[in-house]
Amino acid sequence: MPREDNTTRIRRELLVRLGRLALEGTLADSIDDVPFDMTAEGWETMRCCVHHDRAILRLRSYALLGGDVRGMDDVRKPLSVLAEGFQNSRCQDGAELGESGRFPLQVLGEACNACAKSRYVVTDACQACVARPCKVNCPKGAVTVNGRSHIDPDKCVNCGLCEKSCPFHAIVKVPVPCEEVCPTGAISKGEDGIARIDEAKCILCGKCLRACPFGAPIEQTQYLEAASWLREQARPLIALVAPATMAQFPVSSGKFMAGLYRLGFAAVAEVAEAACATAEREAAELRERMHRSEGFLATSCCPSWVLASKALGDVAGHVSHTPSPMAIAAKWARKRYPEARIVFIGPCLAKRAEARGFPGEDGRKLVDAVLSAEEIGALFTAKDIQLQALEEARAVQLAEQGSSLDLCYGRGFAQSGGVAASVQSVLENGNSRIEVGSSWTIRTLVIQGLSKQVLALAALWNKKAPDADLVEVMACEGGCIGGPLAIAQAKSAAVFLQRYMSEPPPEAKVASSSEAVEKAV
Amino acid sequence: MKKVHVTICAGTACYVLGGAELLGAIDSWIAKWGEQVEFEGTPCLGFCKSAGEAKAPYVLVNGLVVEHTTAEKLEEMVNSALLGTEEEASSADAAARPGNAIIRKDGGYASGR
Repeated sequence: MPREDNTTRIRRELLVRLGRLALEGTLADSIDDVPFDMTAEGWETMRCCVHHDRAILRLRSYALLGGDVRGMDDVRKPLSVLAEGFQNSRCQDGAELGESGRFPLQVLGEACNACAKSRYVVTDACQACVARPCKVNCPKGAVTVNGRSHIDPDKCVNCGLCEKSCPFHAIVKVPVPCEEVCPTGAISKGEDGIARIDEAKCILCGKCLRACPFGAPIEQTQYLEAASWLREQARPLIALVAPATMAQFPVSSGKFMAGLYRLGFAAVAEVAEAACATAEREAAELRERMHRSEGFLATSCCPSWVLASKALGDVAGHVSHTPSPMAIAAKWARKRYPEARIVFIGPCLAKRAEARGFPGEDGRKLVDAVLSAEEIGALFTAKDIQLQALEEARAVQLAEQGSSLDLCYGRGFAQSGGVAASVQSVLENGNSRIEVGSSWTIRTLVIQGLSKQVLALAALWNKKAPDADLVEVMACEGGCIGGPLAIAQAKSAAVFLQRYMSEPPPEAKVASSSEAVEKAV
Repeated sequence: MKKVHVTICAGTACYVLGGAELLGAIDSWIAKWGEQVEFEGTPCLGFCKSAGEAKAPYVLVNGLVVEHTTAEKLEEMVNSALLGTEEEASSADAAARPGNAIIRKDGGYASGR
């Protein structure tokens, strides 16, 4: 779920400003001005001084240009020099700056506050009472009372019994926000207090990105690269729009599509179409599994969950092999537009990793770039596109043959429960893979929001299978619409998604606007 | 009693730069203030063009422009506007109502900072 605060606001404003320069082709000329322009009159100083704020903005820009925030090899160079290199490397014939191969989530050490270790603290509310439950209940003898309760940090094991037992609520836990939300313990403070991410453990749920009050976790994105593609138009660009993205803006899908055409995309397609195909295949897989009595099937469309399952022993073997809607849509798009660049748009961080994991048959990646909902919103703003003012436009249809499943089910994939509902509908109503009349009732378990507790519960499935045939797991609360890079508030997003689900599907016949696209491609 | 009228710009720039939070909070505000305060979302008010998106999101409270609006700031503005309308109703001297440092009565941009 998005959290609106200054770190979000600063990140987005920087995206808008750099996006505008990239769309205008003036990155190298003006990028060094941006940290100063943003902190001009009216700026509320956030850190020790405005110079520190600027230094961090500069490093954020450096990261957006593809700089490595861990090594910072070329961090001394002016941003303009890096931007020039960025543009040149992009202009070379056939050169793909592409993925740095770097993990999509990094910690910007300079921005990290090196918060004090998570600990229990006695506050002024302590009355040094006679009962002293803090001292009595402490299993390690870490609490002494001398005019006031004291906790010896060397003895304390952070069990929290003192906090729970204090009648004055005088003892509080001071957490480390990133460590507290991380479901896998992948982010933790080093000796120097600076947080680091263990890439082997990280499932890219993006919770730390939202939780850190200093905005230290940052993405490694292809934002400026995609903006440059949009400006140059060297090759046609195809947008694959996740249903969760449609739930991020207060406009109809037609107007959102129109905005994407205005940005310079040659064709825009709904990933919801591919979601219907995912549901059909997953239903077939589930039935197969039930026939062979192989136990439950867990859904595979959430890449964070797929990553998390790998550390859960045999549970990983229950995760479906059905490709995600993004993978299916990308495959269709590549086939139909072999010369084009494919850009997936969603509110998900982990899709950036999933996008790398799918080399196509020709060795190319199935998706050339992943943009977040936030980034596409920033590009609309950078190009002064007012979505409400646009004429409705239509998406192109990628699927060669229609699905037996109503498109609204595919659109519903964005919400917790949507995948299970789709698979159930396929099983109840039959399709080409499953004969009609073979009505199956399945038991479903729906899980939204991965936390330490949920993963501990899932680990228990190794011993005792869940009481369900189909387990739908989405790492984000509410499902993909509550993704870490979403814009809309959870409640609004749910309303927007309902509206999108009730909209009619684009007409089967390819719309006239996209016939021009066919020619361009 | 006069109502306070709040117009939230739902233009794309305002929406992306913080308006989404304001629109998402309307339900809780309606629960809090009831019929005293009317909320309305509107297509782009045009301020991002004239004053720049750096000061988005823009909101109108009784026609006065608020810039760089956060939920907290909006609540503050509405509360002082409500106070204003109450005093106006109870006192013959409307001019005695408390001025607000952020709202300029000429309808010019509020200086948010």
